[in-house]
Amino acid sequence: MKNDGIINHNFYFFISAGRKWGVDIGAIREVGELTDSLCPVPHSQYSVMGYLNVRGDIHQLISFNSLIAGKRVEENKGGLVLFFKENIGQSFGVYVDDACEIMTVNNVDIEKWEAVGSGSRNNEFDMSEYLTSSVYRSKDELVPLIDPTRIEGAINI
Amino acid sequence: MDEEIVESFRLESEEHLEAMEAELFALEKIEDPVKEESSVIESLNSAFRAAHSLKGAAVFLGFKNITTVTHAMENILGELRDSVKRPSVDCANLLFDSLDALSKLFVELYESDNIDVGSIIKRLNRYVEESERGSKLERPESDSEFSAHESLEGMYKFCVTSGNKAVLGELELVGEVLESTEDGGCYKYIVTSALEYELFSLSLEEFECEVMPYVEKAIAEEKKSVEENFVVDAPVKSEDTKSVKKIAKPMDASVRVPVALLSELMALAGELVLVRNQHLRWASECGDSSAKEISSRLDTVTTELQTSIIRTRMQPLDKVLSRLPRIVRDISIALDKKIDLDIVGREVEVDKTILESIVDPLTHLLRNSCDHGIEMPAARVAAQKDEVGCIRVAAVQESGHISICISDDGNGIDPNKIAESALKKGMVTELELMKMSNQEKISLIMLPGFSTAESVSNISGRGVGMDVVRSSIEKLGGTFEIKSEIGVGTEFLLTLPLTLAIIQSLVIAESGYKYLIPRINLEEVISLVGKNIHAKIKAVNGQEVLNYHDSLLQLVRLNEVFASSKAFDSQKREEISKKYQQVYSNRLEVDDAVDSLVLDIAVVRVGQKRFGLIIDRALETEEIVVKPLHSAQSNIKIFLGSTIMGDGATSLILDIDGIAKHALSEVHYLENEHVADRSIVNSELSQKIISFAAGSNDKFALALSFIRRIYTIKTCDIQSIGGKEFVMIGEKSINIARLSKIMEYSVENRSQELYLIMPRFGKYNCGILASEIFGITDAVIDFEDSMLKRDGVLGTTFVGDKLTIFPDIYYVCERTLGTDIAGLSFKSKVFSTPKQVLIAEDTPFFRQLIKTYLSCESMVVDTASNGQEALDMLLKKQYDLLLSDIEMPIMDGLELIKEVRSRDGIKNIPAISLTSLNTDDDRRRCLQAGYDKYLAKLNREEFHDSIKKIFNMN
Repeated sequence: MKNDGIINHNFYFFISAGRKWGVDIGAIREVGELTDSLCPVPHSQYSVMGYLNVRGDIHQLISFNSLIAGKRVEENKGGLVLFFKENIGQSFGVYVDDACEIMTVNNVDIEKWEAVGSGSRNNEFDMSEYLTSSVYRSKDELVPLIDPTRIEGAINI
Repeated sequence: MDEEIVESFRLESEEHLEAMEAELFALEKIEDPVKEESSVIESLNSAFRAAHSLKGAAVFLGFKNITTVTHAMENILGELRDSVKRPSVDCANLLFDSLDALSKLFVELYESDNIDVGSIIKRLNRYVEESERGSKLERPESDSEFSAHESLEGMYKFCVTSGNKAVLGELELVGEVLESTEDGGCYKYIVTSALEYELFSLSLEEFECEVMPYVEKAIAEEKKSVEENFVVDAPVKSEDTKSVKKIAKPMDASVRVPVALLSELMALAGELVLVRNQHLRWASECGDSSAKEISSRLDTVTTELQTSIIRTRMQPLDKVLSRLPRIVRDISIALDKKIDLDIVGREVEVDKTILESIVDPLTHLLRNSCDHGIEMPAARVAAQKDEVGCIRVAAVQESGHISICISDDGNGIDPNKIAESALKKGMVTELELMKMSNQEKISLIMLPGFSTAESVSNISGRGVGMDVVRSSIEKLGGTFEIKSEIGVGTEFLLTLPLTLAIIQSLVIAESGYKYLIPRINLEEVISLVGKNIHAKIKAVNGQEVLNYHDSLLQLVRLNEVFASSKAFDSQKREEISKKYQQVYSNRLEVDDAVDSLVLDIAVVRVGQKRFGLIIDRALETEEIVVKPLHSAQSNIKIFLGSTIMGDGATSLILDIDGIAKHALSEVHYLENEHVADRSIVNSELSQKIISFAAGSNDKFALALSFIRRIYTIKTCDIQSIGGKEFVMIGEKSINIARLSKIMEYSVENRSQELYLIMPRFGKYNCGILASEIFGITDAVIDFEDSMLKRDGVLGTTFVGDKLTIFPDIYYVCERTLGTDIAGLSFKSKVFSTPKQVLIAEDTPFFRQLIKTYLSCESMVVDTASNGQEALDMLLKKQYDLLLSDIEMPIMDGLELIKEVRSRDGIKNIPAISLTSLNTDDDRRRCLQAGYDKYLAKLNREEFHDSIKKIFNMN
């Protein structure tokens, strides 16, 4: 939405890894709950929770908590799955702890995030930095806005 | 140029080329062309018609090279047909080569006129010219009505009416105008052309003329039929009214459909199967009778639809098998061999993708059989076989898969030759080979880069053969195995799924989830209950095994495979084995309800690997659609793909080959043992020896050629009964010979892992116990005379810097088993006159060994290190027996015996050849050269018996 040079974006905010994150709602296809039909994939990457059947299409489910922690994290079953659109990556969903809100944010409040050394700080890789493309600056907090196209690549890091 | 028409031409050309090839083969197979004249004519007619149709279409579409080649072929076939002659071998070769040239032109159809076909055209034209010169007198004059009729054979006649006179010019380009009439501005022509109706009509499309096949009686009917139908069959004689009726096929008889569309339909059918599975489950759970009824109907329709769609992609194996006779024919001629090919199961149908994928593997295997399997005619006759070798390709459809067996009655594969080659290439170590069975040695042929061929040929032996065959077949979800017996033949067995998209599978439960085992990999599921679990699963070399159909089946625990992404090493396998032995032992001790324990084992197979997969439970069978793993997991080798189950859940399909590679050792040496058939040839003075320790102080060694196999055993597995020790290897109990007991050497140390060295010759159920194997080395063995000699010791010598004792493995075994040692000794024999024996042997070790075996007070033994030296000694002194090696420097054993048999005074001496050359051919050469007896070096029993016979010692 454009108004006097101000562009509004809709973001989906969620809670995971102990903090609030945002992602452009245009990238999300649907949000669902985790069903019992999740099939774990032995020998897969630590952040891959398994495969899920979504209306006849098999999706890879990635744990956001594990991805950020850099190791496998046991998930509770009360979270939500964000399924992304095809242009974001090959049939995958991201498991997060909880939904927060959908909010319209204007570009004035968004600051491009210059990752230190492409995701590394103090010579140590930082996944949250790698995934963050910009930051939403609200009155009382800074919320990382993630680039969902980096998620699939991130599981192999 | 209309691409659709060109594509149609290309597709039809395949059929015509195949038809010509088949007819040429049929002509070659006719035994008596005079008696079977009608068959000759029929085949020549068919081949001619195919060439003619190709030419016609090529003319129309303007492919000059194809036109020229087919025209020349047509001339030859026409000539043969006219004279009712079967093509000579040269002529058949020329026609086959022409077919090859045409095939190449069709591959690059649009560029075909730029391809050089000068050579084949030249050959064809030369043949026609020579043939014409040779048969001029026999040919009838060509101006009669009869010959005009003959010249029209295979041509079409059309009636063309048009208001446009200019059409005449067009007609002259595509055919010969036989008759032309004008009636009030309407022109009527009778034209003969090589073009089929469809193409002929198309060529005149812009001239608004009416075209009809010119068969007067049938014209009305035919006109109607042709107008209604588009598909035109193979050309027929235009005068044959009955045949004309066959020109047009009914509309629904066949239709060409793009393969991509069939694949799409197949994928949709797969999705429908999944929906059907889900619906069936839902209907059975909801209990609604209407839902069940609908579900049942959905099930039936889906199954029928799926079957029909699968059938659209199924093609008979004949598409591939029909190419094989040509390959055999060409190789037979190239190698001067005589080979019959027997093909069974041409009608078996398989998915188009699979069919296309097996062309190269099948061709390679067949070439291999022709090149390496079938012997030269003379060699076959010498081996008392029919001089014509036979290769049989048999395909059968079994439940859900097809098996193709390519077998030959040739020379078989020599496992030791394979082993030698693999050793030279560094693919295996000598120690690994020692532990391998013959079948395992033959399997080495499937290692990447393996080839025993001494030179690269066009036939086979490029070193990229069997491993490519195996990987191609396994990629298709199939299996490949080789069975062979020396002198009898070889069998290549391929097992392939019928279709790739939908497969039958076994649903299993493991760690709370469902997984699938492809049916093609599954042999059976066995359940062990209660105490049987502990009793039947044993550990051999740290690997869990199960006694299964008289052999040891290695076991893999699926939960352990899932738990470790790192491939198992021997330590891991041992760790797993111990863990579960402990678990079962604990359960047996504390749990009274042990009888309720159930363990399911899926016996699975991929190629020659068979093992038991321990799973939680086998559930049911289900038809599944294979979906690939997500690209991020494509490096996981233990899964083939994923699928959606009837209950909507996602499940993973196990890759049995991947699991075998992950969990099992590459070298499988637990199968039933096979006795090696061939000695390791070593004509050098040095000898391959294996050195070992049997205790803490002494170093021992044995000649490698005396050893059959080495087993690894555990100290705790040694059992003692009645003062004798033995160990169970598979189902057999093997006696243990301790050097410390027999020859009072230092006692074995108490290491956990020991080795049992089995003798190569004799029927000893006994092996020498070793505490450590140092390795295999080359050494020149010259026993030190000054060193201590005692019973059971062949001699002692320095190997490296350590004094090494060479025990007499037979003595040691006989002492352990308590058999009559004296029976294999000459010590007790006393002759009235001492027997003079000459040994011709270049290897000091064998020279001394044979001397030791002949050790007897009344036997005088002299030695020579080559044939010339032996001959000189024979001429100087009278001997009662000559024992000679074959491979010797200066003069070999064959030359020696020929010299001996040609010289007075020594020509009647009994002579025995003792050699490591151990093939039937070697045996024949030795006996033909003049030896009375041929013995393998060195089977003591056989040696002893032969000496006894020669000296009448019985």
